[in-house]
Amino acid sequence: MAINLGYSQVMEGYGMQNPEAIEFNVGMLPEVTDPEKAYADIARSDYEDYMRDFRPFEERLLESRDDTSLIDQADETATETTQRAREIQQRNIERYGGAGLTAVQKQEQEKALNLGGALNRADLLNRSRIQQREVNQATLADLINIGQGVNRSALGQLDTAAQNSARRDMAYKNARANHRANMTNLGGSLASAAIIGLTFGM
Amino acid sequence: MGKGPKKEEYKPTENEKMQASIALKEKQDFDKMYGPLLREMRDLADSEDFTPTATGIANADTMIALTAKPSIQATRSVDAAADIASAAGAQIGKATSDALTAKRKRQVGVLGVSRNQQADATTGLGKISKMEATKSLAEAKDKQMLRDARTSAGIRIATTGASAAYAKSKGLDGKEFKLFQDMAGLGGGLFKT
Repeated sequence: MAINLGYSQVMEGYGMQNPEAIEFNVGMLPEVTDPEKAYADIARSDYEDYMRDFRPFEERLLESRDDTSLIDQADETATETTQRAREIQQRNIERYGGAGLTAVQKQEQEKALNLGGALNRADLLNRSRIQQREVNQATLADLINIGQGVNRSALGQLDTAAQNSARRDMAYKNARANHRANMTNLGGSLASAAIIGLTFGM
Repeated sequence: MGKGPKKEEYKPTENEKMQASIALKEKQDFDKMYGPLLREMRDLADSEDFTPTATGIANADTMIALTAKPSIQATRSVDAAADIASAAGAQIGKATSDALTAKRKRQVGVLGVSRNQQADATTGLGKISKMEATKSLAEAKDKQMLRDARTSAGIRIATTGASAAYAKSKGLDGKEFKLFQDMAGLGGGLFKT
């Protein structure tokens, strides 16, 4: 029996047509005769997908805890910003027709800018070191959290598998003991019957 | 003596098989629809760099704050350019750091989802757009404000002095001088009683 649950039906209900709607029926469901095997197949396929699609990404992220990009960038930023400030100053001086600056004043401005640039570089580098450490530590903490979760899930699954295995082992031992007891009883009964037969010549 | 257990009695029921079929279909659909999305997000998290956007915002903020109103006083000042360099450096440094934080958060989020762990969808991108001013920018801004205020006060004092001298030369008394000041729009808040 096919049950139509298509989007088109809903659309038609509103007097709308959707030629691209895919009609669904239960016959399109995959057949599962062995749910346990289906589950095992999915678990394996998920793991293979993860290994193929995300393991290299995870490894790169793990390596990023030693990243130094912020510190590397600091020097370049300091040079750029000092240069930009120098250009702004130059433009402003030109805008005001020299701004009445004497040669000595210009020299002092240049000296102040050079000194400021050096301080800027040192400050930026120090800040970048701290910020880099913070980012790396935060990434590490997040990765550890994920790792803990993965570890917990893995242990949980192993625990379930171990418990199932122990239960199966126990069931096997019980069955074997029962079987032995049954065989012993059967042997005893047969022996008793034989003794009775021999004694009474039956 | 009765017969032993039959294998078929231990087979899954029709209901169980149907539930399993639906679950398998859901899983297949999930993989088909969301798998590519997560892989796309993985690639974006790997390649997308927020640094240019963040530093662009930081630079623009600094320049708007410190260079929007050029003045001759700032041009003649010895340390104005150094202040701009320092403020811009601090702002851009912070922006670069925020951008890296955003990138890492996104990467960790993708990894968390792929590892079936909790996802963190926030990247801190919003934080970049509302970037706070660093101490350097605030200080440079304050300095510039002070410089402007000093200039403005100097102009007022000079104008008041000149107008007072003019009033005295014309023989005006205090009340008339104040009226003259008000009419000329001079003095502002400095000499208000």
